[in-house]
Amino acid sequence: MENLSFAYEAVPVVQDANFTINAGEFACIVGPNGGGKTTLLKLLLGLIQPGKGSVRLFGQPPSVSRNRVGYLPQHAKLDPRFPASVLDVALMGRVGRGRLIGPYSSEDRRLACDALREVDMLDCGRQSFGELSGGQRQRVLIARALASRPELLLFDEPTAHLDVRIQDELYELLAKLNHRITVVVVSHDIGFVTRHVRKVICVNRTAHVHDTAELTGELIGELYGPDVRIVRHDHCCEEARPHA
Amino acid sequence: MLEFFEAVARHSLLQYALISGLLVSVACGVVGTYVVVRRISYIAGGIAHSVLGGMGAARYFQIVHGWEWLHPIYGAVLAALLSAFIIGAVSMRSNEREDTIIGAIWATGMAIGVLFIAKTPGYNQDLMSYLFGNILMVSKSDLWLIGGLDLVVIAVSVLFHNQLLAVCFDEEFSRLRGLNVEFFYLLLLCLTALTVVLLVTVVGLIMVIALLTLPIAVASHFTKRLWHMMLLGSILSAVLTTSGLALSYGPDWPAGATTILLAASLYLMVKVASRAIKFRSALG
Repeated sequence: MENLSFAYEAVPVVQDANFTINAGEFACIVGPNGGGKTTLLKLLLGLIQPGKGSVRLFGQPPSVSRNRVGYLPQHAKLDPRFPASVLDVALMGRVGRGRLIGPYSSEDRRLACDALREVDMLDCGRQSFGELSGGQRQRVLIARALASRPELLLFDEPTAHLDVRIQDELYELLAKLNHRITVVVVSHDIGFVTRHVRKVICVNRTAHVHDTAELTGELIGELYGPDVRIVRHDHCCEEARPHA
Repeated sequence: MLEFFEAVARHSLLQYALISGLLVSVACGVVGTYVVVRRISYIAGGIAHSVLGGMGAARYFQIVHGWEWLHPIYGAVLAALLSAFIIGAVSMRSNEREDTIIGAIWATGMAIGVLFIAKTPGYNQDLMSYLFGNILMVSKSDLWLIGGLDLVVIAVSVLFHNQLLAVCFDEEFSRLRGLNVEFFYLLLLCLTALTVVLLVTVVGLIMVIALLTLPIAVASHFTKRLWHMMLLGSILSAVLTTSGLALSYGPDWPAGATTILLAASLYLMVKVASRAIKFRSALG
């Protein structure tokens, strides 16, 4: 896998942000609502263009390389009444990869089933996506992303609306996937980051200055104990402010 | 009813009506499902009403200028596709509110149609059949047109099913997977436009939305996958158009209105029944 890096400066919402995420990392982008996380995400995926500065994804412009990213939107955005089975959803990860027209190939089906097996949802393949619990849905959406063979998994608020036990299971799964894929999680409420997360990037545009930071696991470990690390936005942003 | 089936055997007009109803039902079930799950029935309504402009203009040139080849259905196809393109382009590219432009297309199309029809000599029977449909006016050559359009709609829907499904389910994800989301949205609107034209021949342009959505709404109660919904929706609309035709034949009711009322009753029954079942299971 190529080195994944991006850096950019002076965009209206996000200002003078500079950071790099390396291949194989498990990174978490945190910050309060309205702090510019979504903007950051859109910039990263090339859905909007930066006013100044540049973004590089796998060393290329995002619009070129973004199909190597497995993106998971906030699942609240999806219509729960949409008529699709679990397998249907997983197969959507193959769209744009396999054939241009006509039905999915057997290769597509195999990859979708492999992905479902990996997230432990293959047995539910025939079930309706809308009938699943929040945690199960999130797993299926991970499978959809995995089916496209991504090199980077990008999550927007993966644990929103999930109870703590399910959140744990989800992070456990992400850690397992992190053995072979770079994982980036975006959240406004990471009060609780498991030991798997190796890098925390805080985003908040308040007071003109935009702060981003890299906090090493060791530093948080020192602050909050060795096993579970509690990261409070105010803390990490203060820590991060270079001139503070 | 028996009287109807005897009549079908005797009159070719009734046979054509029956066949066109069945043909149209397939496109109705397939495209109607997309319209319902993507929640664009208001766009379908706008396109349907704008079709009057195309039909009225075609009829005018046919009668006044003697352009015999210009069948009103060509005008309808042109108007519907044009409306679909305008609505699609505006909703994707401009800052104008989408419902404003749908309303504008809706009324402008009708106004153009009304003007042309007013200036076309002869009885205004055309207007009534465009508005409320007259399945019994379908001729053998119309049947070929309907069949051809039907084939186009179904072929495109089947070939691009995976992409359309992905775009309807999650636009953002599909875009990131490299799909041209704008193209598929426009394609969907064009399919909707063509289906609307097909349905106008059966129930007329005012009642199109009901036939496009009610059978699907019923089907959605019993199905969990998109193509199951399409299949059941098609079967239901075939049953509805056929029974609408049969039921209206004896008492000489308008077939289109009868079909719509049947569809609405079926929808209501299914809704009430599913409520009752939920209520009982909640009690028990």
